[in-house]
Amino acid sequence: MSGYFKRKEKWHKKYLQKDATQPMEIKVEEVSPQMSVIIPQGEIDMGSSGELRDVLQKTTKNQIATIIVSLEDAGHIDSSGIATLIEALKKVEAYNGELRVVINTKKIFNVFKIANLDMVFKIYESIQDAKNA
Amino acid sequence: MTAVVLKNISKSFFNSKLKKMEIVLNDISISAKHGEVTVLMGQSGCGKSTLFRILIGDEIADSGYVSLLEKEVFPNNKKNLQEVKKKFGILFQYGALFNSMNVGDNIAFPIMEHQPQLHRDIIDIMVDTKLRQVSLDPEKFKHKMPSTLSGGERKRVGLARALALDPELIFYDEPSAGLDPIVSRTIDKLIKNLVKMLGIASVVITHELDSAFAIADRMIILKRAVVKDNDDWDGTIVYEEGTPNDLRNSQKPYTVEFLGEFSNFELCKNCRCVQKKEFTTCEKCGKPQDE
Repeated sequence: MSGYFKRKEKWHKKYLQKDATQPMEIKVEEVSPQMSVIIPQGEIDMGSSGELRDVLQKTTKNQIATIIVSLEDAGHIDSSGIATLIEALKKVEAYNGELRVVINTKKIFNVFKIANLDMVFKIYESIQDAKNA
Repeated sequence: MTAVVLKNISKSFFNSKLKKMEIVLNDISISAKHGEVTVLMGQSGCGKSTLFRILIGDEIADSGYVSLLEKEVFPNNKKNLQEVKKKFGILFQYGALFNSMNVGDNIAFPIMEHQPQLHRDIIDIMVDTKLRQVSLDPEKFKHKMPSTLSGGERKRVGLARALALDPELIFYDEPSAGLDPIVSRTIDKLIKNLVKMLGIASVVITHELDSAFAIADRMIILKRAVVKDNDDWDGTIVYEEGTPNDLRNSQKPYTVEFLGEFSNFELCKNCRCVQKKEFTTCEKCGKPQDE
């Protein structure tokens, strides 16, 4: 990381961080000790993806074997949201777990597709499909 | 939804040699919609770059109205421009990369500027994703310095940086200029895909007719502005707007001449009137075209 970014990060932590994050509701359903369903409500953007990251970090820390992230109620996801999911996927794969993503709108699917991530994530049309897989 | 609205834009510069104001843009009104590629074309000196600079807020028009992403940015509410700037990306002609930063930091720069609350690990993954989107291998290119990149690679890195903040609108300045046909087609395909899949509005300024016809949903051909009381005034319009097909079938001499082989019409070599393609004798002056 270059000096510019280090200074920027330090400055931001001091002055901006509290204002920057927007609240987003995230439902977490523990289906079994080995399966969790995470349902973010509302848009996942650069202001709110940090909260999803916190929830995913907690779940991956507990080494839950199957994590289902449902984007059914998300409405929109941007590249920071996608990056959050990629980070979680890497962590899950490190302990041989599985991350499944539920997408039911073309708009969100296209965000994955344009980054060629439709082949990287296991994508399902409903939570039930993801649970049964 | 209209992403860009320009109404009655005029701009003139002082010509120090002639010691008078020279009109570059005269009463231009154009618009660009979401989910469409709008291509701006015209000869050198017709005001494309000036219009581009007015659009991105680098130049102030003499008169008119500019609205970007449904927010007025000129003449009033100039503060809106700062807000709107986060929502549009710009691909400059030569990439305009920071030579002191590597490729990864160049792409991360707008994210760090506007969204510094994001964790650095997330920004790193975003940078990788953006590089993959423009068909560059992150492992290979992320740590390279801009000076070691080829023209096409610089442009693709520039596009990755323009995409960094997930813009709703992207301005492209000569995206395929100076590139080989293969890279040029890749860039065209990328522009088209972004519009088709994400519904991003795109405004492209280009000279390349091949590329323009490949990507455009709507085209605008600019002509150098001439004022009415000037001796050069020929009564013609200063721009023509339409779908690629409309412009192919346009019978306005300037458009026919500009589009050349892409137009369905030709100009008579003698009287310069518009005739159907591959005509042998001009209907107006009666002169054969072989001479």
